[in-house]
Amino acid sequence: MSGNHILKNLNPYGIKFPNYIDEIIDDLTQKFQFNKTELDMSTDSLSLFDVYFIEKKPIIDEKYINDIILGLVAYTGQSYIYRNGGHWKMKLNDDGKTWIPIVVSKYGYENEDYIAYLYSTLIEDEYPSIYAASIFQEKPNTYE
Amino acid sequence: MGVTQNVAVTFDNIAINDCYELANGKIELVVDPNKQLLDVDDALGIIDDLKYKAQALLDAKAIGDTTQYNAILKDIEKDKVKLSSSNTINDETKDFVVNNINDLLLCERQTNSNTNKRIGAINCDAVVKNFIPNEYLEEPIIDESVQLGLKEYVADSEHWEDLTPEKMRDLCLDAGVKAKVLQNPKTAPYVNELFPVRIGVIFENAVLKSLDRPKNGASYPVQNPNLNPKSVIPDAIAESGTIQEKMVSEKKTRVYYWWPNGVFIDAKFTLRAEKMIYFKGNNPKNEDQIEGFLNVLMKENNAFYTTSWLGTLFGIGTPIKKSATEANASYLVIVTPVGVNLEDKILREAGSRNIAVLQSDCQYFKKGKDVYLKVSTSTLKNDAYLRNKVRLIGTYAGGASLIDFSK
Repeated sequence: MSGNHILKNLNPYGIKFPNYIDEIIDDLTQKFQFNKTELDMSTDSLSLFDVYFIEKKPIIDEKYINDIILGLVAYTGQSYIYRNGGHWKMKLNDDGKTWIPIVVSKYGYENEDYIAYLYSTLIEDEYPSIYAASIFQEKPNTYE
Repeated sequence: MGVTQNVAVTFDNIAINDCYELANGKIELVVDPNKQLLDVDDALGIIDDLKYKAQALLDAKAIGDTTQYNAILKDIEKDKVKLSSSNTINDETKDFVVNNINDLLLCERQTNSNTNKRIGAINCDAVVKNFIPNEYLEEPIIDESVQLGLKEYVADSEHWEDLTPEKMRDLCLDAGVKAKVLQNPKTAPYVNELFPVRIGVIFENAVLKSLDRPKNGASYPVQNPNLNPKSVIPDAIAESGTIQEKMVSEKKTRVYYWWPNGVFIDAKFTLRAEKMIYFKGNNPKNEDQIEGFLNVLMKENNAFYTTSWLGTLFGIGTPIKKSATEANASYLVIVTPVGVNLEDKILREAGSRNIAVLQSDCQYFKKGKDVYLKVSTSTLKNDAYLRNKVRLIGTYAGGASLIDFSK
């Protein structure tokens, strides 16, 4: 059985996703009722989501995740680029429909795994951690 | 290989990745532009397809679908012409296949004209059987399962130590993971909630890096509506495969099958005192995850097959519906710290579905401030419960990955 990409039907912006980053993050800010100044692209700001999940105890089911995942992808990716450099690149999934936002580091490493880490922590962890799941690499793995 | 081919190819700076796919460089078929050639894939595809077309021909005849029957017959004649003009298949193989097609066409025409099915020295049933997929005809001579797409790095000479849950926690403490939570006034009150989650993510990330597997980004819907969650997302996916060796026309033929989603890999970290991964309830939010994995693996029937070793190497094959579990090609690989056990119910439930459960644990070594993790060689855990024990198990092991404590 083939799986479905976790962003399937969740990215209405398609290939133009990078053009709408600010808009998507604004929408996310409203959903979490944060002040705009709180989401300042710092690593600490990622923890605000973790604290929100603990304090507000939203019911984190598939519907809820589908509502926020694109915003979290946009914010975690954009904050990485803000702090470390790099850029967005869109990749078409094998299904031929889903455009996946890739974060390309300044060294050219293409980060895609962070999307699945974000989704996994939300659906699996009792206390989801957006901070922990924001996993980006600058360079490919090296082995000793 | 059942089909031998003499093909001239050039290899230009190629590299193979851990899935045995061409990652870099190119392979080019050397062709004479003055000749009309089939490429390797086409020739392989035609021969593989012929068997299934012959079966479809018989099916069409059995149900009296003359339109379909005539269409397939015409198709087979076209294949014959293509193969006859091919220089990518050696003469012996070409003669064998083309002669069988000739016999098949002759038999079928005679049969349709109501003459006796036996024509001269040709036994029509036997001719047809030459094209029928052998799995429908006879038991294979050997039936092995192998893990395709596996990788074991050469072990290095460093002194590796067991990575227990407590050791993983201590390494995270030493690296300041907990301190970071405490330094942030907003997260500090929730250190007991956030620290374990961060250890878990750090562990999982290091495991996947060690196995050189990307984090899986696909969700797989669970068929059983009573399970929660409704879809599962294994940490990583790998291919499984089988090789069947059969006698075809008195020749040994190897048929390779593989399932791109035949192996689910999941890293499990726990700080619970009982050090156990349970069938249910490892996490209240994700109670039925392991049963969900088994449910999805049991339904896996998207396979590919080829008779070509080259085909397996480059992921070239013909799609076919074939159950991975029935073919002994379903695997659940669980990676844990040392000393963590899998509940017997996981092994039993997987075994009853003919899904092999493998477990790997992890080791670490320190080099200055850096800490490396490597996934140890996996072992089969539910041999006693497997419905069908005829399988050759591949092993899972990883290379040294630098643990990223930046979380």
